[in-house]
Amino acid sequence: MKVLWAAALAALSLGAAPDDTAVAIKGARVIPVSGPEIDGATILIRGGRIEAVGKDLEIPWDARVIDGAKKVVVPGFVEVHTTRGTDRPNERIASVPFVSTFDSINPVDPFYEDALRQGITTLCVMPGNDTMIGGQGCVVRPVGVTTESMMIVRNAAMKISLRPRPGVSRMAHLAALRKELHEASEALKDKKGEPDPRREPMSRLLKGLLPAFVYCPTASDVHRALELADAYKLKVKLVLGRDGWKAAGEIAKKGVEVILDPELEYWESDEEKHEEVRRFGGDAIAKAGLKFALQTDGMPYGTSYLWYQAATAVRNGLSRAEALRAATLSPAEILGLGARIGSIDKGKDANLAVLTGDPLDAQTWVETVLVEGKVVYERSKDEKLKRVLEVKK
Amino acid sequence: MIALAAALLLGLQVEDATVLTKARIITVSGEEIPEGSVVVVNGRIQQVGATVDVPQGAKIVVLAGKTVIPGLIDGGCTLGVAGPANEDGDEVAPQVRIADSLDPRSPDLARARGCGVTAAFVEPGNRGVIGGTAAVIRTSGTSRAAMILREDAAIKAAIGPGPSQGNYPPRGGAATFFARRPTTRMGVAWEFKKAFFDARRGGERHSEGDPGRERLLLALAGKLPVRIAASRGTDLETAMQLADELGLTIVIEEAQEAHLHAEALAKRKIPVLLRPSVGAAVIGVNDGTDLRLDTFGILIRAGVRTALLAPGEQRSEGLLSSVAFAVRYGADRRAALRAVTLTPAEILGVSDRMGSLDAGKDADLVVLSGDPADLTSRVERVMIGGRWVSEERADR
Repeated sequence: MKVLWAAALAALSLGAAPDDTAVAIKGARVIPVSGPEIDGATILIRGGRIEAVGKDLEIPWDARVIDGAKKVVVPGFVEVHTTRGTDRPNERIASVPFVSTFDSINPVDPFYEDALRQGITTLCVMPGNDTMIGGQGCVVRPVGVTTESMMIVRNAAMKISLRPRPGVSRMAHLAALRKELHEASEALKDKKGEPDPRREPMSRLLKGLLPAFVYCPTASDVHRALELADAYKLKVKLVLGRDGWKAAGEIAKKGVEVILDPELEYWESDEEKHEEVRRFGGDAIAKAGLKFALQTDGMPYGTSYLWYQAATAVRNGLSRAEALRAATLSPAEILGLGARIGSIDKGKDANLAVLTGDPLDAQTWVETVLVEGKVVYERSKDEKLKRVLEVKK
Repeated sequence: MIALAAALLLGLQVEDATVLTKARIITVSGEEIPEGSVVVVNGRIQQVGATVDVPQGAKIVVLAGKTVIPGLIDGGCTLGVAGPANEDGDEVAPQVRIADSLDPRSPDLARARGCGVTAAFVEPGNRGVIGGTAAVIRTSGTSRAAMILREDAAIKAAIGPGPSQGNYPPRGGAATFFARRPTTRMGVAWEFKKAFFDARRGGERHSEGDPGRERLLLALAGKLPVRIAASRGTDLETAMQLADELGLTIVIEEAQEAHLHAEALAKRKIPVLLRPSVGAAVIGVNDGTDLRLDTFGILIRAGVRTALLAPGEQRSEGLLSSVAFAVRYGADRRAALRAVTLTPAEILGVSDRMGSLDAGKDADLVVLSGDPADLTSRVERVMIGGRWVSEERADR
C-alpha cells in the first residue's frame, strides 16, 4: 500500500506546473546505453529531465543527492508490448479498431507496481493477440492512480493479430482482415459521409498516422504482415512468435522493427537428424541488423522481468550492449519515443533505475526508480517485498 | 594409493578414459577446485583434483574458463512420460507404474539433457489420491531398462484440492471418470487413509498378491517411501498427520507454503522438494495463499533437507535457473547448487552413484560456460555415464 501511495503522490506532482526540483545521483557506474559506460559518474536532474551526465560534475546546492557509490544506474526499462494491467485484453468481436486500452487500464493493478519494482518506467499497454483488429494501445508510466496521469501517448498504436480464432482457418482470417482494410480504405475515399468517430482509428492507420503492431504467431505470418503493410501503406512493427527469426531476411528487406517473443529460448525437433535443437529468437534478428525489443508478456518466470530476458539473450550469444539496448533504447525508438526516453542522455526524461549491481546479474536488485525526475520506488520502503523476503544483511 | 589404482586399472583393462582438465570444478560434496581435472574411466569418475594421474590413451578435453558441476537431478517431474501422467480410471491406483509410460525417445528427455538434467524422479501426476508408483531414471538410454535406476522408487500421492477438482458425486446415470469420489479436501484425506486400511485388511479392492496392495503394505512397513504432492500449508499438515497416523515414511513435493511448517518438517525429518516461487506475482497477492520468495532459505535454516525443483510449469529445462533464483532470494550459493544435485540424489536414494563429483560415482556431469548461479551461463556439454549426451551445435 505504501508503494501505491508513494506512487500516487508522485503522480499528483507529475504533470503539475513546471517544477525546478533538482536531483543528483552521485558516483555511480552509469550505463547510458547510447554510449560507453562511465564509472564514478554523476547524473544531474532538473525539472524531470537529465541535465548532465559525467564525471566531476558540480552538484547544485538545492539538489537531493542519491548516493550512487557501488551502484549501477541504467535507463528505466521499457516494456514495449504488454497485455496486462487491464481488465481483459481481448474483445470477442473480431474487429474493434475503435476500442482503446485507455478505457481498460487499471492504474491500481499490482502489475504496475511490480513493473516499477523491476525497474520498468515505460510500458505500452496493448490489446491482446486473440482479436483480429484488437484496438489501440497506450504508452504509460507505471505511476499514478488515474489513467490520465499515467498517460504518455494515448492511442499510440493499433493492434492487429494474424492468429485466427479457434475454429477459424488462417485463410479465412486473412480474408476477413483484408476485407476490413479494404472497406476502411474505400471509406477513406468517400468524403461525403458524416465524420464517424468509429472510423477515425482506421483512417489514421491507413494514413500512416497510427502504427500497427502486427502479431505474427509463426514465421509464415510475417510474409502476410509485410504484404498487407505494402498493400495498405501501413506503418508496421512486428510482434513475432518464437520462430519469427526464421523470416529475419524478409523483414530485413523492409527494415521493419520487431518485438521478440517472450519465449526467447525454445526447443525444436530436427526431423532430419532426429535431434532436439535449442533455438534462440534473437540471433538471426540481430545479425540481420534489425531493430528489436524484448518483451515479458506471458513469461513463465514473471512478467516485467526484462533484466531476466536480457540475461537470457546474453546466455544465447547476444552482446551485453545489444541485450540492454533491446530492453531500453530500442523499445523506446519502436514506440517513437527515442528522443525522449530509453537512454541516459542530456535532455531526456529522467527515467532511471538505480541497481545494486550489474543489470544482468540475478543477484541484483532495483534499489531506486525515478520517473521524470521523481523518486517513485525505493526498495527500502517496499513493505510488500519485505513481507515475502527477509533481506539478508 | 595412486599406484594401486593404476594397477587395478591395468587389471580391468581401460576401455574408455576421458580427462576433463583446466576447468573450475564444483564437486558439491567438498571444496571447490579453482582449476583442476576430472578423470572418467569406464563411465565412472576415477579421480577429481587439482592434479590427477592421466590414464594412458585417455582423451583429453581442455575446458579452460569453464565450470564443471555434477549432473542436475530433477526430483519430481513427468519427464519422458508418453501421454498423460494421470491414470484417471481410479483415484487410488497403487498398482500402476509410471515406468510403463516411459518413452526413451521422448523429445522432452533430450531437451532436459541439453539443459543439464542427467537424472530424474519420474512420477504420476497430481490428479489421483494415490497416483501410482514413481521411478528414478537417468535421462539417457536407448531402452527403458537402460534408463531406469529404481523402478519402484516411491508411491506417489497427492493431498489437497488437486485430486478432487472437477469431481462430482454421482447422481444416478452412468458413472464417468469425473463422477469419482472424492469431491473435497477431506474426501481426499479419507481416500488416502482408506487405501492403507484396505491394504492392511485385504478388503474390498484388494486380493492376495495384488501388486498395488503389496506396495501399500511395503509403505506401511516403512520400506517404500510415499511421495506426497502438497502445496498449501494446510495440505502439508494433513500429509504429516496421515504419515504419523499410518507410520509412513513420506517425502513432500511442491510445498510452496512449507515455510509455515518448517519446524514440524525438520522434527519429523521429512525431506522436501520445493517448487520455488520466483515471480513477481508472489508479491502482494491477496488470494489467501501465503507464498514467499525465500521459502528455500527458511527450510534450510530450519534443518529441513530441501531440494529444488524447476520453477513454474514443472519443466525440467528450467532446473538450473532455480539456483540463480534461490541465491537471488538469499540462499547460500553452495546450498542452492546442492539442492539440484546431491540433495535430490540423497532423497531419491541414489547418492551412492550420483549427485556430486567424487571418485567412484557415475560420470554424470555438466560443463557450463560460467558460474551455475549466473543466468548468462550456458550449458555447453552434458555427460551421462561417461558419454557426452549433449554438445552444443556449431551452427547455433
